[in-house]
Amino acid sequence: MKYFWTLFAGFLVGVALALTGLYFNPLTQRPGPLPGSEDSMFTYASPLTSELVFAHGNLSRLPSYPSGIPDLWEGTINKSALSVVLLRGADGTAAIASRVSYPSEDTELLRNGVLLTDDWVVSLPGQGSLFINSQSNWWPFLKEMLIPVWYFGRPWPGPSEYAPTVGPAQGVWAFVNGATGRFAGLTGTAAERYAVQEFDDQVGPRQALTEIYWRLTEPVDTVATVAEAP
Amino acid sequence: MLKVTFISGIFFGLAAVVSGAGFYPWIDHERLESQTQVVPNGGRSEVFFIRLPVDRIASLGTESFGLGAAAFPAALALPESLGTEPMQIDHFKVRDTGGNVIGVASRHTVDLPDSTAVTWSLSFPSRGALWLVGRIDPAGLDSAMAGMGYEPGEAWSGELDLLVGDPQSPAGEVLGGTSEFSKLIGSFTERWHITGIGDAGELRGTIELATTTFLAQ
Repeated sequence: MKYFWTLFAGFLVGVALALTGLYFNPLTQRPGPLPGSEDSMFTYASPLTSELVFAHGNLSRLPSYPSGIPDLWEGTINKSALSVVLLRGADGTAAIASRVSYPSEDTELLRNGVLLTDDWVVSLPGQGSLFINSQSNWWPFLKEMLIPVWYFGRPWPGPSEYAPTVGPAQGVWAFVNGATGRFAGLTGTAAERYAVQEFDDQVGPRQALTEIYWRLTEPVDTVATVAEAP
Repeated sequence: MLKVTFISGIFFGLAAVVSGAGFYPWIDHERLESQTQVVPNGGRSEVFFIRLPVDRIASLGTESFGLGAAAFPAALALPESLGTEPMQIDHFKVRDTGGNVIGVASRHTVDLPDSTAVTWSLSFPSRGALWLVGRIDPAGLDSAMAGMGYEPGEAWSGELDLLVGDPQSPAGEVLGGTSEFSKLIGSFTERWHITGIGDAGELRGTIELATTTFLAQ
């Protein structure tokens, strides 16, 4: 029995060491890319507090809106969320984006972090539409803000910024694929940056400024480009 | 000997956590069997359905799209900063041929200088996203309904089968997508089977998206 308890004590120490290592694991905390001077940049309110639509599987304490919107309750989609946001360009251009988000099956805490997949359709009135496929690592946000404040009741540490995009293009950028209008046949890369300005321990990021920026390149074969994704 | 046991315990603890963190399937979306069929000349076909009105999640747009532009929920409207260019943004739950909800669809219809383009992104959490683009006749639904005797503002019931698309080229294009759809190209058709219109203008019926896809070379 003495050996069992010794083994068990060692096991607990090992678990604690491993959890500490995971908590500070630099591989899961790499920041995403920042915008370049040639990027098209749009800002929007937090997808959780935007003025248009937010629907989810009712597994979250976050409120859906507007009133009367159905829940995504079915088992195949109940981890998903739909948000519709208004994108505002620096030059006054406005666009509307639909974004379906769901946890990525590539999530693991050794190398990747807590990954969220986003499928976007962005449309500019009179100009056309484009698709964006991104993976974002939310582990730094969960670790620094969401878990301590939501689940441990600690005070909000204050405004902070996150650049969560980590793929799937070269493990760094999101993919952009033009769909219609002036974007047809174009491809490119995109990324996001979040500035959380106010955090509520009931509803999360009450006020946040989000930027999405993309860079379109020469027309190339869409499917071939997407297929090169690692 | 106790020292060796203790150190062994540490290694077991480390191994357990590292294995769990790296190899445990933390996210495993529920997946139903894909209802795909092999087509005679190669490739595969898969048909998706949207039942109206139960599968509507949110719709907003300009009034110029007529019957298809009814906002849902009713208070939803496009922001004024988007201007007056005609556009329609819809979101639906997507079903397989067995009637099971398997994904979420975003449909953007945008008026362009030479045509009206429709863009679909079908997101299936366990499979990836499928991207479709095509052209539509924005007045097609309203004129077909008028031909069936529908009067705007009144309820209607009947049967209308409408292939939504450019009359010259009703088939749209499958542009691939992500994950299991990333290497696919092909074509699709969008068919609206309308069985009624409610007092508030909400459509009843089914949208059918029939895709035929091939592996890109």
